[in-house]
Amino acid sequence: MNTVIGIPRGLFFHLFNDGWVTFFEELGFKVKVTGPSNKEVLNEGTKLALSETCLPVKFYYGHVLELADKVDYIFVPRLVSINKKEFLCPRFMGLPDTVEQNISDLPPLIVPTINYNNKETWKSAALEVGNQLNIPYIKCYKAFLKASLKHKQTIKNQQAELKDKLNKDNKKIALIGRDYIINDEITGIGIQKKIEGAGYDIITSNMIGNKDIDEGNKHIDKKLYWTLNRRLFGSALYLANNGFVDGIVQVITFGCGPDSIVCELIERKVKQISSIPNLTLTLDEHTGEAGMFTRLEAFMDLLERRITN
Amino acid sequence: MKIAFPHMGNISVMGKTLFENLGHEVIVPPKNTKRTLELGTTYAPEFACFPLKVTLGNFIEAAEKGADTIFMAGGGGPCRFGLYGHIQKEILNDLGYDIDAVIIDPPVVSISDMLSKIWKVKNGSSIKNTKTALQKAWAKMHVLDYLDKKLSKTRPYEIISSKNKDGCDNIKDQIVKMVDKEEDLNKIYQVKEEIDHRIDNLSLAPRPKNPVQVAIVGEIYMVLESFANFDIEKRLGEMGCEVKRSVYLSEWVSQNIHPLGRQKYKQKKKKIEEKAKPYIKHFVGGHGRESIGEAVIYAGEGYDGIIHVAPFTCMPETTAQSVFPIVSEDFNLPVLSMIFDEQTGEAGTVTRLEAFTDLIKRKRKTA
Repeated sequence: MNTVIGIPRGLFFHLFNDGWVTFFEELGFKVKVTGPSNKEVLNEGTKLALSETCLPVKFYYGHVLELADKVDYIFVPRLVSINKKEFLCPRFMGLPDTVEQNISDLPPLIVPTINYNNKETWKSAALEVGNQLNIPYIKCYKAFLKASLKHKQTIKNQQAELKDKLNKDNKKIALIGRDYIINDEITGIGIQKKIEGAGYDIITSNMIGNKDIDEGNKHIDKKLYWTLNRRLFGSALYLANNGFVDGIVQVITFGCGPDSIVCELIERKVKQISSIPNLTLTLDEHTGEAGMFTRLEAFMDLLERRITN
Repeated sequence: MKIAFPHMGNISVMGKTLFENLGHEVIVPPKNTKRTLELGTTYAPEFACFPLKVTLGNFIEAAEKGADTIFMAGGGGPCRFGLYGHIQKEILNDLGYDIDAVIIDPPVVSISDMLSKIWKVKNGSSIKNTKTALQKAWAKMHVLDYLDKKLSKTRPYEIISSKNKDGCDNIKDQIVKMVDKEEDLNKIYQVKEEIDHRIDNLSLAPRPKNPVQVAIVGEIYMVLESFANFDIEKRLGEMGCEVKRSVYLSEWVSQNIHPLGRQKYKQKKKKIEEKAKPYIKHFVGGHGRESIGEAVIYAGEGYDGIIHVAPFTCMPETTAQSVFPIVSEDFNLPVLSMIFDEQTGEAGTVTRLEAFTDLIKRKRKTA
């Protein structure tokens, strides 16, 4: 079979890439993932997307466009909720619609809906996709199982990493930000390299287990209903409360709705329970690397002085 | 308990009645002014949405007047609104105001929590007392919405002259004050006759057979709060357009809170979702899908144009905004998306409205 499925390297690809790629490969398709983000992807995306939306969505548009004439289908899932009684950002709910309306000449989209509040799970989504592509039920189910196993293994590995890092005596920084920001080539990788280059270990929210996330969330009396922000808040507060890190660096993008509120909540709550310094970097399409790095360096100098004293 | 709640359209009139009749002391925040906005923008998170900033300003000004409890509605997501009260309380506490927050979440979040909060607000009043409090609040809301609807059909034809001092603006001010003071249920409803009487006495140009009609859709706070949207409803009226809002407070309450009204509204909601389907197929939070569906319905009803209002970076409405150009093309319907934040200027807003009304009037002539 020569059908090619395209997956844009943006947004939730950074969280579920292993599962998605495994799933389609198990079904016997060729999978084409766009390359790492670059300036051109961003420029194209910025032209297509509404100026008011957030930076990651603009990247996503660019990645979709890059796939447009190269593949037979593009996988653009509608992610509403991946945990019961929780949501993702409202923008993802309408994302397949805005992509379809704003980019012309696209190949057919594969748009399964994942909404745990409405019993639309990853499993039902997988079967829905199989149906659309005329795959027999059994084969589809098997592929789904393999994919979810693979994803669970990745999570396990990440959480094992935390234990390693906590056991070591290195200086540590909690890098609090959405996976698709801190793992993106343009918005995040540079920051990660800079921090590691200065001799710090990085701890991110996907290394923290659910139990510890829940513990961190005890510091707020309202349930944060965005899954990712609940993770970010929980990990920041958990790490700060236990004194596991020397500093917190939050990376958010301009125009991100949930982060605009929760980032402030993290800042205020961390201040209430500990003296761990916090740096918030806000990125947009005009952000210059040099400015960011200067602020990071200054922040790390401050940490240095605190540690030696 | 000295309770304060934020301004949104005429909500303060009804809130005051409700809480006072339940035996609370109510601190109505000063009217929205530049200072409110400045206080709000100084202390709110920089990228938070505009309504959060203005309402934070209300709470700070209320706290200055001695309020010790803020009252807010909550929510279970996915829009930011559900966390407004929590972050505002955090900010007020950090500013040194010892303030408690009563945040009522809808039943989907937690029924027991909702009931316990309502119990707290109910303040031990008898059932009879609570009922009258609700009835009065409802009546005031209803009468004020009646006034707004009536005025929007009057303003385009108002003849402004020195003889004609009792204009629409005066009527609005006086009636709002009158309703605010009135505490007798029957008399509240009688204000409607007073409204009719006063409007009938205005000297008006004749209403054409086919008036220019514009609908305002979008995010509820921006639609209702005239300070935040630079009074676009009034300005459009003065530019000769009859204005219909997608949201009126009394309708909103009966559609979303009143049990019987909710049943009734279900069908209408279905129709709206059906109309939005070619553009947005799924709930996108807040009022985003409804904005599209309503615009399509208004197009069918022969409206001349749509004004779409939203706060800057509003998540549901940006989704709507990015498909509006296509809706506009499909129905040959002019749509103006207006995004507001603390940087928005009055003059710019007026210029855009003028250009828009010029456009829809010319479109009529050439059609």
